[in-house]
Amino acid sequence: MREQVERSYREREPILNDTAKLVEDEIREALRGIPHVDRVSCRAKSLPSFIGKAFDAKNNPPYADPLSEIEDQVAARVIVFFLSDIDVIREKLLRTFNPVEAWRRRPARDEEFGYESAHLLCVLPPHLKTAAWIARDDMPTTIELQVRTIFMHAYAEPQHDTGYKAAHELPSDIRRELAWIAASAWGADHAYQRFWAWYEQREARPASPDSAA
Amino acid sequence: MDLFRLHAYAVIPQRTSAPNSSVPPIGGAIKITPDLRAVMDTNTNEARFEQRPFVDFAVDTTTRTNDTRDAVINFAMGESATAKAAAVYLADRLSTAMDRRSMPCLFVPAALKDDDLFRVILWIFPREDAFQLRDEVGGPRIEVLTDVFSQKSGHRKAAQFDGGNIKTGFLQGRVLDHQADAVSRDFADFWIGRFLQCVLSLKGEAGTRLLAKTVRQTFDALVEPAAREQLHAAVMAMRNSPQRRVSLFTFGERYLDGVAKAQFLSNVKQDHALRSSFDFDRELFDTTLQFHIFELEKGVFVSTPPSELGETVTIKGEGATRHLTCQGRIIDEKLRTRHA
Repeated sequence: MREQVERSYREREPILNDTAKLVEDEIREALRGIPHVDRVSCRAKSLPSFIGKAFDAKNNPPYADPLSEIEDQVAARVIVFFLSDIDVIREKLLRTFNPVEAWRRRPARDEEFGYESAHLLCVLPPHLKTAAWIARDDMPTTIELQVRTIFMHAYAEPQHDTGYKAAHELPSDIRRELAWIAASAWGADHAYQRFWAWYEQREARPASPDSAA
Repeated sequence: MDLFRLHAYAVIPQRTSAPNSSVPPIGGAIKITPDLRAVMDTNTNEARFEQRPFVDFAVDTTTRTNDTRDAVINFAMGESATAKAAAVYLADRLSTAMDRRSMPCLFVPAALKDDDLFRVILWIFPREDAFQLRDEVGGPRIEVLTDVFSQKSGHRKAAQFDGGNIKTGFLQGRVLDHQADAVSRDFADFWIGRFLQCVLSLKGEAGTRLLAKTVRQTFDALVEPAAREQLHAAVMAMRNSPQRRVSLFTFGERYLDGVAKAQFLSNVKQDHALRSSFDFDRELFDTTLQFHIFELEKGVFVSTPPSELGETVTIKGEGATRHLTCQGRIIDEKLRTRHA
């Protein structure tokens, strides 16, 4: 089954890449004029990443039809400046995409620091389906959208490239180093949010005669 | 796909009925005879689902559940008793989604299968009064039949959903609903919204942006002034139409013809994008379309948002003799070597 799935995924990679480009363009259009968007990107899942997820021994139950079931074959990410921008972008995305799942990833316990991000699983809208996508009956119905701040991204992305997904795979002192980065990112996000709230309040205040001088 | 399960229920409108006075739907599983199979095949072919708008189930995003979707899945994949309970639930739900403006109808859920892929088609065929001519001993007699359901009525509706036994199945479908574009939202939303608990797959903002982009591309591609003028008139008509639900196809059909229509339709590459309905957002349309640009005979260019046409920017005359007048307070000016 693994070889067959691998072959099928390789066949569909050009379709996924074309769709990722359409989704990215659509998100850029949807967010046009919205401030504090650092970047928008969209990618098709790589073959090794797909196969790794499809046949992960920890899947319970295992995927019966990974080609249709794995929902982040096309995934987009929007990175924003401030924490308060996450909900603004999320709401704006929901005016273009119909969601099937929405959740906020954050550590389970208050005293922990780690990966944070807002996730949406949405149905791929009809105008973003290419003819090749429509022609196949085993394409996924959904795509994944993520919204996170620059600091959330700064914590998550370098680790993503190392391939470590589970904390228990790491030695204790390295886990503490990563927790320190996560805590710093969390603190920086909240400090920046306080700065932004102060700045907005200051800008909204009518200018005093003294300040005009 | 092979039709393996078919139910039928007589459903009456009960949306406005008093509490605790609802009448349960009458019906159940129907034996699939060769004639009935052929009739349902014909209905399916004539529905042309491949040209119908996409809809998505509006699911609870914490549980991925939707009562109608769950019943559709149970009808397709459940054992007989589960399927019957699902069909009765759907018939009951349909009854309470219909008010007195809708006619009593025959509700027919059908399940089809091809290997691991299931399909459910939900039909409603409205009741019609029909004549039946009887040649009897005492002479011919006309009998009025009041329990006849029409397969060809323009008021019939259908929805088709596909999926396997996985969490990504049965999330999206296609609908046949000739009333979905009605001006009255309450009337238009009966089938897609109140009964199916679905929303249009092409959301208002995305559809409006797509329409504006296609209009812009069409305008740039047209060379004949008359065709450009027609496109301009179509834009104005769309902006002022009370009919807010539209597809790119209906926009082309309703407001354009000839070269302008052919160019407009050819700019939409995918048929499913062309046929998907959405709720038009006039404000976004104006913002996205941005400016209408006129070139006057002395090399003067006038750029205007569509909302100002007929207001501070007026055009008089027709065809080659059109004259533009513009009036307003200057708030900024720029010097350029050429028009942008």
